[in-house]
Amino acid sequence: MASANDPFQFQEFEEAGNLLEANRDATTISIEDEDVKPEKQRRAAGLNPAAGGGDDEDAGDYDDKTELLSGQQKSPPFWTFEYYQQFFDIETHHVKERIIGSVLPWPGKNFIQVYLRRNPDLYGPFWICTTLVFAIAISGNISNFLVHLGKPNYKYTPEFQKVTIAATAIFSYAWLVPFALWGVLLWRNNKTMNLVSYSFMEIICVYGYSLSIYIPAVVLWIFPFEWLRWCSIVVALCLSGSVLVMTFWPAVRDDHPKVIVAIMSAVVLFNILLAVGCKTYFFSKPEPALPANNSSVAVVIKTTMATSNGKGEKVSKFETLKLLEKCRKERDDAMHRESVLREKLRQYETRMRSTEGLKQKLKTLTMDNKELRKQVKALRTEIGLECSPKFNGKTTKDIIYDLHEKERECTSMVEKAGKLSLTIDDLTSELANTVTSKTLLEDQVQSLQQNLKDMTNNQRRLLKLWEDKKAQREQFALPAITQKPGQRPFVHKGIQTEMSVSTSQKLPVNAFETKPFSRDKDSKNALDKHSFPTYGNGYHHDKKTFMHDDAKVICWRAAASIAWAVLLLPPVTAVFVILSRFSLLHPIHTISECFSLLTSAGAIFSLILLCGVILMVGFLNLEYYTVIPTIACSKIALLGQLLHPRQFVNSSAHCIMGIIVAWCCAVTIGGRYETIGYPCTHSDGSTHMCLNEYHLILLLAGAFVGFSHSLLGVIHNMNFVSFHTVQQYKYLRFKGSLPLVVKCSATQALYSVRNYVVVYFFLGYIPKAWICKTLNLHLNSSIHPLDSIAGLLDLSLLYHLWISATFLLFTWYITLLLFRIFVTEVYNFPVQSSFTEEAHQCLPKVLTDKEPMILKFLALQDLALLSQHSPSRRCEVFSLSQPGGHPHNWNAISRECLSLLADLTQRLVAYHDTVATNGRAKSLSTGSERKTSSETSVTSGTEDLMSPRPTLMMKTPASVFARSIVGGPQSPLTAPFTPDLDSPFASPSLRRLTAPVEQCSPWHGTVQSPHVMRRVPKLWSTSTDSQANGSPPPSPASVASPQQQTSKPSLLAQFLQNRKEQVKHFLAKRVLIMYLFNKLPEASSQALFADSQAHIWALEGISYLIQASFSEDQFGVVQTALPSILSCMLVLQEAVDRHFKLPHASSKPLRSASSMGDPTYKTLRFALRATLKTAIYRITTTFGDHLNAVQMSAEHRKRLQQFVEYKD
Amino acid sequence: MCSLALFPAPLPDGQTTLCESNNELLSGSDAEERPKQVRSTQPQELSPLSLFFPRESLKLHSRTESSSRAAFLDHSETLWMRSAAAWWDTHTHTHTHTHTHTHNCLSNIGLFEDYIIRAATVSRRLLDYSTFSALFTFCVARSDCVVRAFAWHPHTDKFAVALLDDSIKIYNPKSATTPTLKHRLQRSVAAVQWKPLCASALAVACQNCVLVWHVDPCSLSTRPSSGCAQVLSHPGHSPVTSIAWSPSGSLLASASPMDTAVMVWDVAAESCVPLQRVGGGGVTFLSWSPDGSHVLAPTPSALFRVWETRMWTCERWPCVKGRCQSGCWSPDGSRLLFTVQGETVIYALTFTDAPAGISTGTSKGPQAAAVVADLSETSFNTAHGDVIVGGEIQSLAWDPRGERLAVLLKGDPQAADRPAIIAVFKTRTNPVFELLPCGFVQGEADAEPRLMQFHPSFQHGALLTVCWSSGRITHVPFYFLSAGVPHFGLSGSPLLPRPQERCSALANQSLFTEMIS
Repeated sequence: MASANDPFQFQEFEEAGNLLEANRDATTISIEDEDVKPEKQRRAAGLNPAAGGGDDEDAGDYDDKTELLSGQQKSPPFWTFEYYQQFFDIETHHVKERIIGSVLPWPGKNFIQVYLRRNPDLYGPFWICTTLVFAIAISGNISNFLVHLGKPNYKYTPEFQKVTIAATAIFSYAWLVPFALWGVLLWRNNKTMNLVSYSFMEIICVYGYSLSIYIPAVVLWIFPFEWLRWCSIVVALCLSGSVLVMTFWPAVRDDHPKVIVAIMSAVVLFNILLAVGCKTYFFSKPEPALPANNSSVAVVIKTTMATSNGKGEKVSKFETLKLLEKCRKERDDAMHRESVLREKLRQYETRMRSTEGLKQKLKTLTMDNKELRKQVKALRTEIGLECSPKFNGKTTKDIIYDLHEKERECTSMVEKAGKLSLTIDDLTSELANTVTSKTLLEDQVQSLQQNLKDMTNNQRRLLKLWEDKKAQREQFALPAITQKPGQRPFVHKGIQTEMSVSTSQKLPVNAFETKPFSRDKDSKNALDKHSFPTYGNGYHHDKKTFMHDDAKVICWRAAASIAWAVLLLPPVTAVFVILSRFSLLHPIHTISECFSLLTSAGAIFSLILLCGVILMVGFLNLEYYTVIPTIACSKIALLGQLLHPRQFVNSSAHCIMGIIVAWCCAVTIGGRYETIGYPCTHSDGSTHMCLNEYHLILLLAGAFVGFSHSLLGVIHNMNFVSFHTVQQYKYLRFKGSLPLVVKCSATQALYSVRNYVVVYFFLGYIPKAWICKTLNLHLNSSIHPLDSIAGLLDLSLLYHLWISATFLLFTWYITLLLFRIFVTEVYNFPVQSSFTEEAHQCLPKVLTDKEPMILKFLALQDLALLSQHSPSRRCEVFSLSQPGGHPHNWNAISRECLSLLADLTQRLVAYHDTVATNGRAKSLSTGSERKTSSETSVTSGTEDLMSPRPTLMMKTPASVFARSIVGGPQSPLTAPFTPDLDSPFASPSLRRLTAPVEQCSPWHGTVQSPHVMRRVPKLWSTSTDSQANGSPPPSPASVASPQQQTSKPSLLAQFLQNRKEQVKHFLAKRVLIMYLFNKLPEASSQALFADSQAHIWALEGISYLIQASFSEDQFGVVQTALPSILSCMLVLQEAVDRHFKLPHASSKPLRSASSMGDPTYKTLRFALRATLKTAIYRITTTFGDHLNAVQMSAEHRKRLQQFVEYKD
Repeated sequence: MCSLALFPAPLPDGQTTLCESNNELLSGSDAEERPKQVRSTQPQELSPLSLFFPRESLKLHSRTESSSRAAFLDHSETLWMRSAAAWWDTHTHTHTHTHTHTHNCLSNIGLFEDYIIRAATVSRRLLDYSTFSALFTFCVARSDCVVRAFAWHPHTDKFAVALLDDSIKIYNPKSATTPTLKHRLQRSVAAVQWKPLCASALAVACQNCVLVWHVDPCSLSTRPSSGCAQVLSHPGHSPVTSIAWSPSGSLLASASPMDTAVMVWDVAAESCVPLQRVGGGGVTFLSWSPDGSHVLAPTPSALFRVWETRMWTCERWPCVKGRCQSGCWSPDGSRLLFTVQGETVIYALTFTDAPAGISTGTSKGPQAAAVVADLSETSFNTAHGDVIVGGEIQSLAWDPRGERLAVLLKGDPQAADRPAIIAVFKTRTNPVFELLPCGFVQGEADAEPRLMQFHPSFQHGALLTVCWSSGRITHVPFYFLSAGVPHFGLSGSPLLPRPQERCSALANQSLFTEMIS
């Protein structure tokens, strides 16, 4: 970098040096001093603080370090007061220092690096801006006063609107420009790997402090001398501009030159705009007096008019005389002016002549200059700067070359050092790996020893058995010893059963065949347990930080979407203004009016308000979004969702935002909507402030639309973020869905306004009266009230209501749409990382994590895409780990996918079982049980639905256990918007449906309900997959408990059961209750498949990987898992087929015409079915006859054969 | 470059092409009399069904007068649409008169063509001539054939045939039942295609919608209920004339010459994403490359687009002379052959696949198309007099192994000595891409080929199925041993990415262009 620049710089300095001094040594020294030092300083200030020396550099260095350290500290989130508190925590001398720093910029002293890095404050900027606002307003007033001081007809009136306008201008400059700049820097920072980056607060702080120079300047503007004002403007501009430019220079230095120029000129331009704008707006020049001509001409016209009317000759004569006099006077005046102008012309001519003389002089000077230059050249050759054959010695050029040489050497040394450190890193990582492998090996050895021990135990047991048998045989052989005849066979049986149990448990038939496989699994499990500690002592700590990192991705995406929404706001507002004020009769007048309105201060203020609303909406989107929709299975559950406190907060926030937007609309529409009160005269003549009902109706409409928007959001699952099957670029997706958004917002606004008008007609008097009372306004009785049919049938009012509602919904929908588009963008996770610190961000690790759900979805989507499109990344999946030779990546991915699928299968089976057991009692009002007995409410929904089973089932410890897990905090399905499972409104069926989801650990199903356990063998004819999932045998306690309970049926339970049946019977007759508690058709089916997008991706990813493994898997990594994957898919296929045979499961949902809610969740089950079939077909077509070699149960083989023959 | 002059002379009348064996096309006067040597040398495989649909067997919409139109119009159309149709009738009558071809055409075709011509006449008035001509040629090409569309199942030996009376029959050699699909909305079927990696799903391009039938292969019913069909419709997207499944079976694309957008359907969700670009006006047909990476979408004007399916961006390819008439992809998806209306040559484009994994966004495609074959008119001197073969190309088909390329030449219906004919090329990719002559495929006298398709999974080479204007469907097997990389004998393996082949294609690219120049 430096070597490219230097020759030019050197030449410049050379010339200067030659002109000034003849001494060669002196010039070289001066080159050294002047050129190298700034370079160093710059570097020290910007890039690497470690390289520089000197006080400033040290300070910068220190600051950087502290900043780095403080970055680790946890800061409160930005929506809390604590977050902002820290920006006001500053001492006076610091503020002083900073102000001085901003007023006296010094080359090389970066404002942020030197003054701010420790902690940016908002205190200084805020007060500087405020002071500036008042300084401008006050000095503007004073100067105005001074200008008009001598005028006799001038009456001083303070102009208070200057304060508001100044405040709007200054604060918007100090906030919006930094915001934009921050965005731009962030964007560029991602593009070019820039080392310097500033936080938003720092940029705001710099901007705030850079304004401080304007305060004295503004005070100077009081004096009505134009030259003084311009001088002070230029000085202030230079100072503040140089502060800004020097501050932001390091952040953009490495960028494209065009971008640098653009950013820097934008920064400077805004600064100039502010200064010049303030000056021209607040400090006007004294206007020259009106020329007299106009008045006299007017008089002439008047008089002629008068004469033509023929009023009186005398008068007219007198008047004409007077007029003549005046005319004469004017003529004289004109003559006088003409002479003056002539004088001026003469002066100009003389000046022209003098300039020509000057030009001549300039020419001669340039000639001289040329000659001098020639001389200089000669001198240079003498000195040796330009190679002359006579001189031999060390010329300056040589020295420079030497310097360059040295520099190159230095860089090469640095590179070498870097390489060395890299190799050291490699070695250390290898060392770590070897240590890991060592521990692994030890573990393996341990497990082997354990196996050996087990086997020896078995052997011993067998020996014992053999001996026992031997003893028995001997006993049989001894007929002489008699025992009681009834006892002997019994004992014998007991022994036999015990033996059979022990053999089947301890020694399976194929124990020796599957040994290597199971051992492998053991080692794998051991690895899983032990690998986490070996990642470093702070794995959990790391995990937290990386969670933060990954969650940050989502936050960044949300922030980007909000920023775009804010950027789109001005054009949308402009369109709204034009539409709302448009009148067919005066099109041009409308447009010009709109332009003037858009540029007014009020419009800017409301735009800032709207920006705030958009930010809030974006924040709510981020807070409430979900990737798994919440599906209410009955009306009462939906009601429960609507009345949930969380939803209440959401609705009220939307209400308030609706009011704000409506207020902005009212201000922009203007006219009769503008203010809430207006002066009116009472019948008795006194004036009062009266209520403007038009304003009120618009505000309330905003609130209503906001409220209905949030309610409809719940009903249509608008917070559900769905992933598209077709990948498109963000811009194209946005463009494609824009018409839909317009249509949706227009129709939705129409419906909302219709409902609102009806509501206002009936209930409008309540808010009206309330507002009147609180604001002490009166109702104007002379004007017709609006909550009547005649009042509401005002077409223009309805149009304005509709267009405001459309505007409101459109801006919100746009924000929502952008949020969806940004959040669901494909994210590339690395498959494996060479650094252990980044291991958590890798695909296998993210896949297995539960929180946040969207990351898991993104990871699964990435898996599906990479398996489909990217051979190089597939290669990474199939690769073996370097020291151990284990396919960790593939194992982790396939295990996670299989557990997802197995989990879905389990859910389906459980659902099917519950439906099968009480298909007739399906519509029983489960919610009402709650009222009858507090005791039954303890049991979980699974048992509730199994009511035909005896009551004793409800009291098994297993069910209580299941319940405790259901309410557990770590459930992924109770994602933001789900109502709490414990809330009284959530139907038990919903809880039951969510329950199996949470137990992603496969063992849970075995414990959850013995009933399900009993059903299992029907579907899992082979136990291989449940074994493959590493499930321990079912705990004996859960199996044994039902038997214990059978012995004591309690009277109380019997009684409660009877009462419950009675109440149920009673309630079932009431229509309303039936309506509320009846299950919605197919909703349960939808809820069952609510998160099936994950399963679809898992299926796609796994099937594509298997397909690719046919040609790409070099190590046979996939082969070992193929049987379990196939059986898992086939079992799932069977379960899905069975599910689709249920009523309502295969019925198609109605296609809603236009709604922003994404209806894809309604058809996920069909997509899953299709994907599952395709996945199985993909495997069968790829492997063909090779599948015969895969070990499988006969039943599965039969099913698979159907797929091979394309008969399914 | 290959030209027709290198071909062997076409057969005399009465002779039909039977098969290719030992590098030569065998012919016979009777289809039943199969040459002995073929039977002895080739493995006895299950010969697919040859079918014959005489025109008389179908109950067609017999309607020639425009006045009786109302009786046949579907009354589900709204009043507005009916009145608009009436307006069309009265106002476009003169326009249709000017096109005598159109009227000839009209005399014996069904509602669909009528609809298309009606739409086309209006479009000619409202839009431009190109759309009209595209629709018109489409109509003429299909007008006299009873079989309107034909599709092999991608993995098995069954196929679907769409007939002129808007019914679809499914033939399966392994089962005795032939299900017939009829649906209220299934009017004017223009294309059918089976879903890959699925046994049952069949997509049908209809007038106003795309139907996706789920025909259970094990079911014994001959008339599946209309409940088995999914209806995919989008306002403004009609008439649908072409559909294409993605080779992975996940997406379905549909196009209409009257709609500028290509619809990409998520069939399970019944939702679609319109892919819209300015210019062109409509999409005449769609062709998804076998590796799933590109989709060819020509427009009625002199412009075609190649969509990349990763992020759905497109490349524009302006043609010089006319619109893109037809195109087909090589099995590995790296090469696109296409023909342009008004020219008698075949162009090739080579797509080097973008380094997948690195999302560069824009794949660096080829810079220019190269001419690979010249099919200008050539006269052959046969015993029965001179026969002129060549001219414009109607469609192309490439067999799934990439060894045979069938080219359907239009011919001239007026001139007796210029019949429509299928020319078959052998294709070679190593060491350079070139087309070698193989021979002509001919049918019975007075029967012209209308549709052709290669069997997607024929074991012993390639099997070309041809639908003739007489209503006959015949199969012409080409027996050969695959010279390229063995396909593992697996159906459906074209999906498999084969990097080694791609590499060779890449290496040959420079050579290829050299040869062209």
